[in-house]
This record gives sequence, structure tokens and C-alpha cells, in this order.
Amino acid sequence: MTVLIADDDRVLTLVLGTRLKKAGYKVAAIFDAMQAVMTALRNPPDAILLDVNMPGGTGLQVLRQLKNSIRTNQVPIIVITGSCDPETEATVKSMGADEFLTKPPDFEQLENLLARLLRTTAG
Amino acid sequence: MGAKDYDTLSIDCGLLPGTGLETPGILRRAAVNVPLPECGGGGHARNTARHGRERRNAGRRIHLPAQTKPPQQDGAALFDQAALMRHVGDDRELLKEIVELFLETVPHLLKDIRDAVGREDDNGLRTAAHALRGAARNFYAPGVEQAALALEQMGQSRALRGASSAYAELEKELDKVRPLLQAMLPDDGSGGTS
Repeated sequence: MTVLIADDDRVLTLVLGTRLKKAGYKVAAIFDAMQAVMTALRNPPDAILLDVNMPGGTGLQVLRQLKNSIRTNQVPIIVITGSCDPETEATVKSMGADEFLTKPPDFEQLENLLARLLRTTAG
Repeated sequence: MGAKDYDTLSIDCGLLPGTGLETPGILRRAAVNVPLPECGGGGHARNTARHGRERRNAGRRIHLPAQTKPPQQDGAALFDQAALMRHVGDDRELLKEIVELFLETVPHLLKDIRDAVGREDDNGLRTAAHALRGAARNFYAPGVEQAALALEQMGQSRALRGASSAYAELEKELDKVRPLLQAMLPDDGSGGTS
């Protein structure tokens, strides 16, 4: 299973990437919104962890483009953001995000969410 | 907030600078081993059942239970080492990597912030301060996070008056945390201190 992490927080990306690899996932990390879209469209991952504030665009733009593409609209997307603004959560959920976590996410919870979403997608 | 116990905190989400929604996470991370029922980081998902219930009940206000410990004026208040170790899954090699990455990144971000303040670039300030705040959040360093948030909010609201002193405050907070993080790096390459 491949997870694409799209987040310009390199420390968090390193933490999540390392721990996900240990858990058996393949991980790709992208630090820029536009790159994230291009990478996901070119080679759709099994799941995406998406930040809201990134250079080169916003996570919301990434979310919109990926959920509007037939290539990626079934890929589960977990939005992970530093803000727990309920409006942001409502917005990303209405745009098709599968889950919403605040930073820094609890890894076990993230792993459980990923496993559940990937089971759902596979089923 | 000083070292005084409160039975309940009622936080307005429309606080300035920042939002009340940011405040609980920062306050919580200032104390060690305190449950985090509210939104605002600290590893708690917005979508837990308990949280959802609290938020529904509280509407736009968030109520926190009594804080059991006042923030300590030592390393424990500067960053939460236990939370940091949980964050890295007790992997000392990973800890070393992220400490090194943070210490390497901070000077660049500080320069970006300083430059943005100097040229009164509100967007640049918001972006750089946001990046630093995000990095600091990984170390559960509430003082740094709060100082960076103040600058981020100045950039966000395009009100840069006081940004120089806010920047000085950020540097001061980082100066406190940096040696503690450096002390976590191993001297012998064995992967960290115990």
C-alpha cells in the first residue's frame, strides 16, 4: 500500500513517513501543493495525507482537483492540519475528505484510520 | 496565563490574536500528562466521539476541565519530552533526525521571518511563522508555538505593529528550547540519551 504525504512540514513528514514505512507502507512525500496533484494524478497512491497550508496552492485546491478526477476520486484522503477550525473541517468534509485530524496526529489513531479506509476502498 | 489553577476555562473562539480554537492546544501542551479532551493538536483527532459530543454541546465555546498542574518553569514547560517520544514511537534514531532537521531549519525560518518583518511583508511573515509554528508543534514546545502564532496572526491580519518585539520573543523562546533539544542528541552516535 502506498501513502502519499503532501505536507510542507518536513519534520512531521519525516515522522509520519518513517513510522508508516515501519508499519509496512510505501511512502512518498511531497512538499508542494501543485506537485502533490501532479504526483497523485500520474501515479495514484492508495491513500493521501494532506495538509491544508502548503506552498504552490492550498490543500483545499489539491483536495478539489483530486476528488474531481476519475483517476483519484476513490483514493481516501485524510486532511491533517494545524487548525481545528470547525469551518475548515466542514469545508474539507464537504469537499470529499474522508477524515480530518489535527496536528500533530496521534500515530496509532492515524494508522487505524488508514487501515479502515483502505479496507473500505478495497471492499 | 500564569501559574494559577482554574476549575474551568471558557475560551472564546474569536480571540485576537489567534483564535480561541488555537488556545486549548497551546495551554495543554504547556502542562505534562494532562488529558486533552479538546481540539487543537496534541494528537487528538477532531472526529473522536467524545470530542464530537463536547463540541456539539459547547457550540462555539470550548470548556476544559480543571488543570491539575500549573505550568512548570523548567524544561518540562518548554517542551513535552514524553509527548515527543510518543510522537516518534520511542525511536531514538528518528528523534535524532527530527531534532537535527529542526535545528537546521530554524535559522532559515527565522531569517525568513526577520526579512518579512523588515520589508513589512505580511504574507511572507504569515507563511514563515506558520512553518516555524508547525515545526515547533512536533516538539510540543508551547512557548515557541505561541510566539510563532502571534507573528503568524500579525501577518494574517496585516497588522505588523509590534512584529519586531514579537520576533524577539520568538527568538527568546527558541533560545530556551534549543539547548534542551541539542542535549537530546547523542555524543556517540548511539541514537540519543535515555
